[in-house]
Amino acid sequence: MRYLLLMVTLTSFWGCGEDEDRFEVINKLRGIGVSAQDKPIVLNPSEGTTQSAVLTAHALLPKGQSVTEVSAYTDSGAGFSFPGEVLVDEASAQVTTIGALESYQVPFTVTFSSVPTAYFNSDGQETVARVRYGVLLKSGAEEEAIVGDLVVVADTDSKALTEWQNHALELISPAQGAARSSQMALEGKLTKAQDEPVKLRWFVSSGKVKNYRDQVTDWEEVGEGEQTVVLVALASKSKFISILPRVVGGEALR
Amino acid sequence: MPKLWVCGFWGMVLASVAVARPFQVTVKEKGTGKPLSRVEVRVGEEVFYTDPSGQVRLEVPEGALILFYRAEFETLNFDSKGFSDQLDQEVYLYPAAPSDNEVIVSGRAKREVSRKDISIEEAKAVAPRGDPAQITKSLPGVQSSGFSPEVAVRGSAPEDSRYYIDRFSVPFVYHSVGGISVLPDKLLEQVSFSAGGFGPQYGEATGGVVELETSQSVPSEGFAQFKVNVPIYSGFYVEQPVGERAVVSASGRRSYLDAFIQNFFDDEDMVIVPKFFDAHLRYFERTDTGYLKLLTLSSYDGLYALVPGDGGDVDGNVNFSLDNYYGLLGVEYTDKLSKDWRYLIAPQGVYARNQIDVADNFIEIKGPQVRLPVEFQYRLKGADKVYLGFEVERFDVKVDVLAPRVSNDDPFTDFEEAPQVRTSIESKLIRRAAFGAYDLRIGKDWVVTPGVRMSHTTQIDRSVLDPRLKTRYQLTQDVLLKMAVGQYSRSPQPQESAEGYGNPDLDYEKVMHYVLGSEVKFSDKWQTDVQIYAKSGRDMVRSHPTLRQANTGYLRSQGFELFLRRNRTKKFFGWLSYTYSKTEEKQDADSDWLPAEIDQTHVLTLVGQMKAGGQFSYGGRMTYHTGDRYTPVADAVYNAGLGKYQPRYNEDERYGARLSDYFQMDLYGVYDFLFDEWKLKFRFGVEYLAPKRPAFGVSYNYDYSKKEELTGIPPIFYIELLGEKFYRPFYL
Repeated sequence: MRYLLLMVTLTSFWGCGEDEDRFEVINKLRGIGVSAQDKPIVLNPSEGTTQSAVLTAHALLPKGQSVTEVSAYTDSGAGFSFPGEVLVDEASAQVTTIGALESYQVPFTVTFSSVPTAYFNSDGQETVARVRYGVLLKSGAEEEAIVGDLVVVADTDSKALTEWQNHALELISPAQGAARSSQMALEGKLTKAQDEPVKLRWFVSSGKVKNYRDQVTDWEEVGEGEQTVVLVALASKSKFISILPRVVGGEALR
Repeated sequence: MPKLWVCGFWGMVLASVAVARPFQVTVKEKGTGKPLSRVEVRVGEEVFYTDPSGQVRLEVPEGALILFYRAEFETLNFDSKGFSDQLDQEVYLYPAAPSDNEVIVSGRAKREVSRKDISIEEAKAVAPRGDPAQITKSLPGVQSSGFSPEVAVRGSAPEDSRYYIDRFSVPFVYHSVGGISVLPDKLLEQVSFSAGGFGPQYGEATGGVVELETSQSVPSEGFAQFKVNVPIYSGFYVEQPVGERAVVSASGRRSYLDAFIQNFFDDEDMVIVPKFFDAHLRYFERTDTGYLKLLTLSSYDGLYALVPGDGGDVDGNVNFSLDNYYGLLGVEYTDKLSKDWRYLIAPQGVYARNQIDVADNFIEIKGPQVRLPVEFQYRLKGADKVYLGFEVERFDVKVDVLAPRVSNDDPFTDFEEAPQVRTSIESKLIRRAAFGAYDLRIGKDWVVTPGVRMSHTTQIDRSVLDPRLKTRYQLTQDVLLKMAVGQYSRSPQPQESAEGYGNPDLDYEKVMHYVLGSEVKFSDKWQTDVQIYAKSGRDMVRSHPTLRQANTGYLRSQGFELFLRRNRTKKFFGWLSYTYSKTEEKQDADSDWLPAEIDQTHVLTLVGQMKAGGQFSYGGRMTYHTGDRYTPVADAVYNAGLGKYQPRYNEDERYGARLSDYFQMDLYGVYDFLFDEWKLKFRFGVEYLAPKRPAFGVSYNYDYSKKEELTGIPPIFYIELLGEKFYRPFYL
């Protein structure tokens, strides 16, 4: 077991094609997160009834590309989450140009029946379960399945429902509309609302980020012309998400 | 013949010498300073011999030449002008090039069908880094990964095997750094390995049994050794006879690989710090009809790593730390109760602590274990023997866990996604077992040994009865036929049956072993051991959607093993080991049979050592095996909650792909620098030599759309200095 854990840890950072094929570089259709209109936390419906929540899937594409098709996706590998049913509202999808990237946002509704007791064991919280959703985006031949979990609480007294709040995310560097240079400092600042691991992910339109998971890092080999950087914060338990874009070397983001 | 010619020549030379001087000459072995008796000393026509203290009194004419001769040493021609004016003189003889004629026989009587006994001298010669405990990797029936010290035996997982130091059961015998054994080789006498079909004295093992046996000899002199291995560790070993029947020894080792390993990684953000230490103190006393062993042992393994990873917090790094420690105190005592009864008792206490921290998860398991095995042997009329025994083990385990609930058998689980479970358990666990076996001789060539082992554990409050049978038939003087069949059971791992984390209602895993084999002795130097085996497991613990763990799994494995051995002479030694096997498993009765994770179809190992002279030897080891299995990724999704891509698999492709075949060659040389009273061994070598770097896994790009094999181990060069000195016991 100890060797298994060691190998899992060590192989987690050994990736192939490091330079030409990087997580943080948006060179094709990519999902970056799913947000909720209010909270990604809902109450478990009583037996025989259903509960729904409206969420929004966020994706990025290189400028000039577009999402051609969107549909519900069933995740076969979510053994710890209760399956929910997804209805995508494709008509309400929004496309926004952010510098060198296109931002695609599509709302969808997750509906689920009463979650069995066996699922209420997530994250050391016996009053918390997860409901799995999935959305499939297509851009030509490219496909991107975005999955995630809606947090479901057993009762209104659950700590998750009453105390879990969104974090505050600030993108300190680069400043809005900053001049482009081949190497730029990246810095985000996060204020946690409650004690839970929050992950940061930097996405860029070109170049590479030294550590795309670190709140303070460097953006290297930044491409010529207008470029875009997006910082995403993901709360691991509460599922709150923040997305902050910046454009450098061009007009300020409107 | 050349020797006589040389003697005649010097005789003629010496005849011309006239004036004689008296000398008291002591002849010693170069490098150890041990006196040599029965050394032939020629002065002219006169022949003298050294006494048991290596001394001889000579009347040597001025300028005379003296010849010293003894078998296995280089003949020395000495000019008496080289003597000082003093009466007492010392002469040292160098070891000669060894002979290939005399086969060295070692090992004890073999009762087990699939057991291989490797003497410590053999094991040191051909084991990885000269570390004898790792010799099991080169034996038939064993599958291993290149750099992991753990071994999988006949399709069973490493944790299905059991490890012993003498009769003491220990959690592990290898350090996780370099796979080095927890005991110094000087303390060991033999490494024994049973791949299956073993007797009822061994329980809680469905795989194999690895035994490190410490020495049962009492030296006449003290001995001190220091070792400096670059880049892994340094250590010392001392032993001191106490009277003529007892010896006490001590050792200590500490690694410093942590100072070197950082150079292997380019990324400045990455920190990896592995380390280990071990120490022992041992007392051995031989009695008229038995012996007493007292052994204390401490072993620690640690590793700290800080690496960029998905499981981290806002700094983007994942911390990983591992601390494994155990201390052993054991006494092994055997004696005769009467002319026909013999007993052995080996009480032991172990304190173990195992702590793993990964990101915000931790597992800490600690607590003492006491164990008392007692064995009786009764010799009936004729050569029949009865073996009876019992074993009691008590564990006081404290488990503190905040970790994902992940199953060992589930290769698909994402550690970040599995429910994080907080558990704190203090439990007392008692295992009891009784066993018996009967060596029934039918004629003088056939031995049939039925046996049975009955076990009970309070962990799951269940009992199991394991009947076993083995037989050996000496067909001719050089051909032995053998067979074994039996059931082997193992209780669940503590985490598998823990309340809230696993399933407390589990049962024993049960595996049937079937072994059929033959040993053929072609000559004094060449012999083979050929075996075919089959294993059939049921009630294997597997992950379950609602019970978390359940005895739903099945395992089957079959294979063929060849062990061709060139017995050790003073000049050469080696063997060829080949295993063909196929191992499959299924999750439950309704599932299909699919390949098992541990399923190397062909494993071929060739080892050998040659002594090129009195002071130089060289050797090597070549290993080939079919690539390890892995489950290919079928698809991937972006998990918006975890901020990463997750692989998705097809259940019917479970372990359906293989890595490239594995090939590795290790070469080494040892040169003995001999000083009068001590020697310095210089060992140098290279490991992981291969046409291409061996693969130990598969790496995917960030969204699993591309993959390549992980090949992280380049050829590793090493040097080792080993200083050895014998000395007179301090009380003489």
